[in-house]
Amino acid sequence: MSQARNKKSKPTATPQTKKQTSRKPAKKSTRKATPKKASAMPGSSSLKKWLGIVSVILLVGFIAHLIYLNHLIEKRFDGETWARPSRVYSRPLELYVGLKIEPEQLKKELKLADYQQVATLESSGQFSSSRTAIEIFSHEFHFADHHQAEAKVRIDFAGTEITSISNLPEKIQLEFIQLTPVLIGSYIPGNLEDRLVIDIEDIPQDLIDILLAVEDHRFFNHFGISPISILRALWANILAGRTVQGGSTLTQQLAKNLFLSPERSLLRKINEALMSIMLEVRFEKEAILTAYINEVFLLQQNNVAIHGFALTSKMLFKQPLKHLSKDKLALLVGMVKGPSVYNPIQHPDNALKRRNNVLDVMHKEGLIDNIEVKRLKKSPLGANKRLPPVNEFPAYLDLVKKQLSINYSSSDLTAKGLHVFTAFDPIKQQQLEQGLKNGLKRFDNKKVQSAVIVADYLNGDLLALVGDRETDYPGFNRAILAQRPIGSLIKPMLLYGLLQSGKTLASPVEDRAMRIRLSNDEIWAPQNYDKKLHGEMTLFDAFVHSYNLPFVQLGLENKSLEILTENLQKIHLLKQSRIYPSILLGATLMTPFEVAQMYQVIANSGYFSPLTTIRQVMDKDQNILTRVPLDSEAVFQRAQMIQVQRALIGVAEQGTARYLATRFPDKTVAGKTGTTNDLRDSWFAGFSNRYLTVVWLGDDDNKTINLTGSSGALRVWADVMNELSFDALKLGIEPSLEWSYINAQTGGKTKKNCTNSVLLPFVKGTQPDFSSHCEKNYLENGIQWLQDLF
Amino acid sequence: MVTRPFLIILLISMLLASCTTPKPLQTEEYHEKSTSENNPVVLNGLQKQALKLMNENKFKSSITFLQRAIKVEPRNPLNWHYLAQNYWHLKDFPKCRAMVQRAQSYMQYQPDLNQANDTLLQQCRR
Repeated sequence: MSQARNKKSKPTATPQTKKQTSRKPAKKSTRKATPKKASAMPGSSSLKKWLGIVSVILLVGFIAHLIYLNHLIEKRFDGETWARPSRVYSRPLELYVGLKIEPEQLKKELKLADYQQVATLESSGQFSSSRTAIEIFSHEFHFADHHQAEAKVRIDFAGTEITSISNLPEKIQLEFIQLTPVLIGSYIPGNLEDRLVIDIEDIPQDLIDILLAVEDHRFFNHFGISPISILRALWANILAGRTVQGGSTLTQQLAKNLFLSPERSLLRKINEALMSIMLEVRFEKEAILTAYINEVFLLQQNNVAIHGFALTSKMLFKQPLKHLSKDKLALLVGMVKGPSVYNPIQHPDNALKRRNNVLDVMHKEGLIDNIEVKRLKKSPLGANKRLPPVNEFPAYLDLVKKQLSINYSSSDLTAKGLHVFTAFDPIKQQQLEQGLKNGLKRFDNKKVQSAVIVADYLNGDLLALVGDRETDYPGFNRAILAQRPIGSLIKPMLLYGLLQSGKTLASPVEDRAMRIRLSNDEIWAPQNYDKKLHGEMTLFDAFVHSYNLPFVQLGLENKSLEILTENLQKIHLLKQSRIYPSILLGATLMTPFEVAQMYQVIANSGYFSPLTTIRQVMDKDQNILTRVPLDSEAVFQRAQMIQVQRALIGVAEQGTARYLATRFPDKTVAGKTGTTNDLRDSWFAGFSNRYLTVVWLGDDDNKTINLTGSSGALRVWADVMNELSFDALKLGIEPSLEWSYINAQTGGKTKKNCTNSVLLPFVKGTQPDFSSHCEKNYLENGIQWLQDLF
Repeated sequence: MVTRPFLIILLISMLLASCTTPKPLQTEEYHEKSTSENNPVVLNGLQKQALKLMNENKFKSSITFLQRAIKVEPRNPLNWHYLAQNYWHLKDFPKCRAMVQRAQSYMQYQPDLNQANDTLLQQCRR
């Protein structure tokens, strides 16, 4: 084998050309010979002539067949031999001194990235942990901008904070490290074959030795077919009276797997033999061996066929092939004979027997000694109890695919072996899924469907996403496909427009009944959710309680409707060509993803960053094809947007989402509830200091779910945020704003401890010019005094 | 003397109420306390590396490092300022302006950086 490794593996066409030219004179001599013989024996001349013609036709046909077979080989080997699925990765976890992360979370992330927990680090892909430290032997990895070699590092913790990072064994302090990203999915080709293509240098010598010992020990001595092996197999089968041995070489198996059907027929066997010889003529032995190792079918995972030793190793043992011990390699080689029968997950007893048979062969061939064979036979199979799912996070991958489709075709994704680096945060995804699960338990109606999105609104990273109440269900992705009316979720945009046109949060508004004649002469009589009228109040108060009538009234005044539509256009969210006044109450369709985009710009004080899943795309040779840089465009005025944020805090403190004030008493959050007609949709969009989370609940058949934004989505939102562990929202400092205590009902200036007092921001010079009578709330003040005391 | 037990009951009920009622927010609680967390790893590591790459005219790689820095410290105005510088070198002036604006939005009593932002913004408008 070592000799073979020195040979060039690059296929060459020269030998084939030589053979074709050498065959040509033989054809000519046949033709010339025929007339001579015909003149010598006139009686049989006619028969011989016809025999000659038939022979020529057969020969031409045979040559044409050979050319066809050669074309098949060329087509397969000269381009891409296999369609390579694209791989999608999570964001790499950045570890640095001072980072707050629970050691358990880090361990979870490592396990997701196929690291194995061990007592002592021996090879890459392992980690060990003690009470205050985690040691990691990291994988080698090609990041978009650098290559990270295998390395041992130690992470020390004090509670949930990283206190030092050092490399091992030198113990040199490091500033930060990037962990290998988690492989979160693949785009499988149409033939439903998945594989990890490796080169000859990445194939362990032990695997080659075991494979040849078991499957084809004369591999380096035959020319594609082995007559000796065929005769031996024939003899063994005659003696046994049934098929007990095959005589196929590895080259024949490769030819069959790559080009032919599995049917048992003489013609297929002849073609197999011919193609094997042609493969041997055209390619070096080691190229054929590499192709075999990448091609052989070894596992079935649902509807996806796992081919090749490299991916099977990852699926069964979560280890790269080069780190597998001899017993595990023996198991893999043993599986070649019957991938289904010897599957270690479904038939562990069969697999164990087969592995031990292979170990016996290895012993017989001198690959392991007596002691080793006994030791290895005692070792367990070591395979995972179940195969990792191909795509564990289908909803997120769906969105990645949608965003990739702008620049890449479907065949690029399923065949070109791209490496797609995303913003996906596996820890946040798990927390989101747990939070959703907890939240949905609250509702008796098991038909309530859901979609949830978590994003980092400061940079536009889309961190986690689910599109179904069954989070791993790969069906209809409601997060990006369900177009639903958004109800009161529109109000922050409307409020922004009103502030833009000179209103303040303290501006007086009236909640009174109204009837509006529409352009088609129909009468529209909007109502509040509680069907009551609440009289005069401030814009702030109307907003936090989500009263509809003041907003419809203000929306129809001046150019508010036009401003709203213009603002929606700025963030690419206006889809209707005709605008009706009902848009003021959220009668416009958006997907949860689009709602998240609208609230991203609100949470980010008017800076629009497109929510994105993709950060970089590399080709199979690690060249960068696409970078998606961080984008930030100031589309709205910051001062006005900070006022909207303050109003959204009001919603969570004293308005329709005041449940949050009791659920998270020490953490400021902001958000808005949304409910649609007949309680068909329940929405909540809200944000903390960093994370924006949007929750939608509804029914696929558009039936009522009997949940408002407050009683449904808000509760789920709180459960999700509780899992995410977030920091309190802090509003940005804006020099053009000044803050005053205002009576939320009258809009007049007041003092901190007066009834209905709220602290609101105003653009300088727009504060109310009157004061409201301060009605002291002694009970509240007393409580405040006590709270301050404790 | 009748008022004494009344006051005690009132005090106890206020004490109990204080345990259940959420604490109202104070003025300063609405504001960001600092625009920069000044995490040394960002300043010493990622920013330094990004500046080195920028000086070597490797602007796209420099941007990648700054994006990593922003993920760690999104409200650090220096990260955004250096991003703007890279875009200025790449002659992507709209992006340069957008990044300076983000840097400005996180500014707090940093006169030197403020001035640098203003100068850069002018250059981005050319």
